[in-house]
Amino acid sequence: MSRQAPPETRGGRPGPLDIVLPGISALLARRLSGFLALGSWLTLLGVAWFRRSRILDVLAQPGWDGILAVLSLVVLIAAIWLAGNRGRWRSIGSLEPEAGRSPVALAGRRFQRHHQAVLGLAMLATLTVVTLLTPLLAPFDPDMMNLSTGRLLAPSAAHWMGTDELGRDLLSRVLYGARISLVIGFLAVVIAITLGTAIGAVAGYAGGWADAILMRIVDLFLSFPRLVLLITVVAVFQPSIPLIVIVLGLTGWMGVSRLVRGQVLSVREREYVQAARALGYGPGRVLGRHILPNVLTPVIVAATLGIGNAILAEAALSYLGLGVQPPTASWGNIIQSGGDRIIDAWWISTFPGLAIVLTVMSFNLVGDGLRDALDPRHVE
Amino acid sequence: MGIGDRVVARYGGPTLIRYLGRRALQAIPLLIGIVTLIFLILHLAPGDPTAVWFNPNIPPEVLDRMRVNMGLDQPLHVQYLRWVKAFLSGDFGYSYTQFRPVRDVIGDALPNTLLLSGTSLLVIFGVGCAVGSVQAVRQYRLTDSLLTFATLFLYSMPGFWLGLMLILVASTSLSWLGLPVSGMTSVDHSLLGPVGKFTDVAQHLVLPTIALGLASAAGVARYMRGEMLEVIQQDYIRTARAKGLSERTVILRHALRNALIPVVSLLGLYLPLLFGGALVIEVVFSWPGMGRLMYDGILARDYPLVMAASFLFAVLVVIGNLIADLLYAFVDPRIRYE
Amino acid sequence: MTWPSALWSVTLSVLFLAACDAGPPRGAETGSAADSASEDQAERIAAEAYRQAVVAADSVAHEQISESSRYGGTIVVAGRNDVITLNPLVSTDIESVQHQAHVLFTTLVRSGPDFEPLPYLAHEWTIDPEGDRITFHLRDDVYWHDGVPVTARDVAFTWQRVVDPEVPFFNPSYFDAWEAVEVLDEHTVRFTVRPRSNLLYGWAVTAIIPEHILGDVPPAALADHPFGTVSPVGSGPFRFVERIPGDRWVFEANPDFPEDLGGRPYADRLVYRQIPDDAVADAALRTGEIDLIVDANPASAQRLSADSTLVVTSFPAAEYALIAWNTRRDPFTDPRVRRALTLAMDRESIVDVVRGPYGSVSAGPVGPWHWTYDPAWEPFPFAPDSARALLEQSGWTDEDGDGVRENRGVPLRFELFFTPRQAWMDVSTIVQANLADVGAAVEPRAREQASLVPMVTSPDRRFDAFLVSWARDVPLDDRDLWACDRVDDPMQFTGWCHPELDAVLDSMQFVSDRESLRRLTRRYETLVADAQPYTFLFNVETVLARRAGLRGVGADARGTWASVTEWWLDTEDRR
Repeated sequence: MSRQAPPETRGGRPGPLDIVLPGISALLARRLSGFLALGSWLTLLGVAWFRRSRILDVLAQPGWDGILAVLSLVVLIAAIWLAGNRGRWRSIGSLEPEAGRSPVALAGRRFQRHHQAVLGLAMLATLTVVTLLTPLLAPFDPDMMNLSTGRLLAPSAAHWMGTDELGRDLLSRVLYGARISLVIGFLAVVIAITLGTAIGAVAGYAGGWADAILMRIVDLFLSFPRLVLLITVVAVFQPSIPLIVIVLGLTGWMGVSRLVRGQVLSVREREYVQAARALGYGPGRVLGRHILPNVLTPVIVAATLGIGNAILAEAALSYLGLGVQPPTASWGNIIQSGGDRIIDAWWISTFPGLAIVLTVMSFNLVGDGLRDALDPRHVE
Repeated sequence: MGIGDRVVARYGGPTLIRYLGRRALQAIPLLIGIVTLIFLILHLAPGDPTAVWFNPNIPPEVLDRMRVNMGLDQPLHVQYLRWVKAFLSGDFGYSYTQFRPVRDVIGDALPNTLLLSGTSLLVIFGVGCAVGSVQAVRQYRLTDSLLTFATLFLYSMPGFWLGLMLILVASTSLSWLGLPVSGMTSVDHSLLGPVGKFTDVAQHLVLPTIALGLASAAGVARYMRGEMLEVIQQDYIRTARAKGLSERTVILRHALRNALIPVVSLLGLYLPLLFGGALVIEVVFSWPGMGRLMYDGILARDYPLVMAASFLFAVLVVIGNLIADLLYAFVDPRIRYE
Repeated sequence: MTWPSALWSVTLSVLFLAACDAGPPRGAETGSAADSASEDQAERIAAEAYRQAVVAADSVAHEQISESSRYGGTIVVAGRNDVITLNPLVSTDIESVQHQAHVLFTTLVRSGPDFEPLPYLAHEWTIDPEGDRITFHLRDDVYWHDGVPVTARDVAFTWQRVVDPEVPFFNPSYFDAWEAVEVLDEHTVRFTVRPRSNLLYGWAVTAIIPEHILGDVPPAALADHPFGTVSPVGSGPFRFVERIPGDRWVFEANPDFPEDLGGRPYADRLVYRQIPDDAVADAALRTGEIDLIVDANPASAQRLSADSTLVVTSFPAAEYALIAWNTRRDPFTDPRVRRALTLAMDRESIVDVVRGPYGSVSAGPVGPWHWTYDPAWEPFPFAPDSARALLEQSGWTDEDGDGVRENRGVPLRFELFFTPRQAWMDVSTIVQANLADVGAAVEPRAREQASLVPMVTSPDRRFDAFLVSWARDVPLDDRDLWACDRVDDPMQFTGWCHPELDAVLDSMQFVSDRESLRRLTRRYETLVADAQPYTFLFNVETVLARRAGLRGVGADARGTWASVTEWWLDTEDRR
């Protein structure tokens, strides 16, 4: 079986042009990574140029938000440059490194072949960058009202997404809302995954009555009308972002626990696990070092898809008035505020909804790609 | 193999009846637990039903009198026992917000929710399976790519946002269609004949069903596509083609039937989800169903109503899980060819 | 009579068109803030003129249509709130009470435009020379819808139930002065009373209930009795047909209603639907599914009035919005601070955002809905500089330069609570920005109603400030807001009271000449304005949106439903 030359040697090595336009050699060699690198380079430089006055303002005033954004911009530009120029300094005569054969590298290449997954990843990357750079990108202060002349303006050159009922620029609010929605989604999933994995692993490994009890508890949570819990909890402990995160996390772990339990059950009887047990390792060590790492694959996929679901759930909560409270902007509560005027001022509810769709789409694309890449059975 | 045998083969127990009985028994402590939990949560939450009448005109004595009438001045365990006793005898009490028996209130709202959820289920599985099959048959061609994008787009959409967009479009660009955007019946519904009434409700169902069903239909389509693709690659399909059967027969009679089986097992899973998803859609479209009822009830601390509705919801989830498990047994390929 | 009316129509049309051109609608993008203030004023005047012209032109043009051709059709009305129950002894919400008093039942008397009592079920009444007994003479041609005649026993029964402490009637104070009843004969009933002003107001809003149906029902069983929600039997201009819960109430005209009281209403049927969603109600109005929205959203009023098939009118409702300060807590113990905070709020903008032209800044507890209202009594201006000066004087200075004032180390920071309504979210955001400008940090907190109410009504008053609106009765009795001897009552959130105010409010219940009442009202306003236990935000105007084919809808402080028997539909609009 002939070995295919690893990608790095296939041409597109960084040349002198890459100092100014990193990735151009790869692009000319018709590699996707070149296109991405050059594209990001130009976009980031464009942002830095067109928003230069804003950057100067931010640097002049103290404010963690703005400083972090400028720092992120600098770091990103540097990283793109380095990525586009990687391999430049390797001496010509040295051996080329072998292309990785580890499962991770194999999975990575399978992922790359999925164009849709790569698109999803690109969308996610864009979203992340936008979130980091929001203070520089947002044309207006999201809380700045204009009660006399700026209320309910339709989308125009001055306000790309129009303004809301208090005259606040909608584009800026959607940008800042992205952070809230993403952070909530991410943290909620972290809680759900942690809790679900722990319970599922214990249930699957211990078996017997522990398993039975834990699965009964899962059933209880699943049969519980979530709304009662949500509304009451939100009423007793006043609505706030930490509370929403906890509540979303606590209502999302059940699927993960079943998944992990199933995986643990199937892995439990394998030889390496039996060997570990024979060696006298305690259950914690067996679970932690032997079983769980092999069980993580579907969990990662579930986590990625779960973030999308958490974002949708936060939007629904905010629409019901139980989520993020104004004046903090979150996509869900912007849609809620525009719901009453959907006919008069359609832009208020439409744009945050589109933002949600695009974001959740990218998480789904990446999740699907991961699932296909990490699960050998799904290779076509 | 009958369904009874399949169930026994997969889950154990001498007969189907015994298995169902076992499940019913297991469900009882679950229901008791849920209902007690809800009781505690509701009563420990701040506020009481009189908070709805927040108006300086109303003297505190009147509100106190109302609390006494509702039995809220009793200690918690006394209230619980009274409630349990009433529940067991089938008396669900009177709604504090509607002054009507809870049984009537729920009896009016439940069929409306079932109508909406049921129709949505039809859309979800009908459209989902159809689209998924088309995608599988036309794999890698333009249709597949377009539909993949479309299903992904819909799958990522918040249902209530879709509802709002539908209202927007139906009220402006597509207003000539005359699709109603609110409620379940139009004004002169009671004056219509049976056909008229049917058409009236059907018209009102269109937008909420689309909003509720489309996202899940996309999910089913994705799943169906995967299943169909697997089936198409099987040997017996190749055999059928080799026998000279038309492509149409091959797909419709052999591939589709076998691909549908695992997809149908999703049905049980979707049942409880539909009741939750229906809440937000019911709010958006002012659909007079259980979701809106529960939501308003919780905010107004209408204890009898919320307790009965939660109990009902839990029962429906238990039944849904049971149906799902029965369907799994039905479609379990390990038992297929015995 | 035709040519004078034609001339009048022409004149009105000219006025109408002139008013139309008087200014661009909301959303004009030119002009500085100062210009826009006077523009707003001009706009308001123009809008008002336009509205009145439309209503007048409307009624003039249709005088010509003969009475007899007005009969027929089904009128469909929509509102945000449902009619919960038609049992007056247990209902607490406005829609129910309005339907009871005007649609389904008869009341003993009814209110005229100035809230003077007019004959209704009682065709006349006499007051004894000593003033302590009042005798009502009832009509003999009013029947319950099941055929039984309405008698004095029904009136006596109604009163007994209403004042019974075991019956949860929501406003027993209406009948504070009514002490005993005596049935003299089938159509004569006599009450023993104490003197007070607006003595008969309670009878104008409380429906008379049938003794032959509810006589045996014990008070505790009243709330759940099917009479209220399933099978009400009334005596009024409309009969109950059916109710589909969560959807609609259906009534039909009562052909036996006495001619003297207006006779059979014009409409054959009346349908009331609850549509909680404004956008949905607007869409239904445009498509003709409904004919009238009784509490339309001001935000959509402009768009609705642009539709030539619709008419939007409004009237001052006895409702206002306010921020209540907890005067038991710092910094609100100091009235100067409260005054400063009021001066710092741009209430004009708040009204604009929340109500558009359908509201006005409130100067105090008495608004345009009350006949003692004096437009010359001005609200505090929007004066942030005065606010800052006042705060400095009270000891609140920004010592550490962080933008928030402190007094001996304690920052001027507090929480503002409200229920999660869109309007309150907007108000609190604006208030937050205004107060930040003068150095006060406001933290808006939305709480669902059932959680918020115990916080503000419990004796420990767990709040700093909260935002709320409520409706008052037109015969104003605000003693339940301020009485010093009940300052710990649940509804006296602020904890402020003033002995002179008590005396003033008490006197207001007993004087009957208008001059004295006006003077007392001014004194009430002055005392409250000095102390600012509330910051009165704005008065609300109720917005009515109707199809142009629906005529005869009255719009005054008595409420929309007071004119229900006069509503009729153009023939083309009948379904």
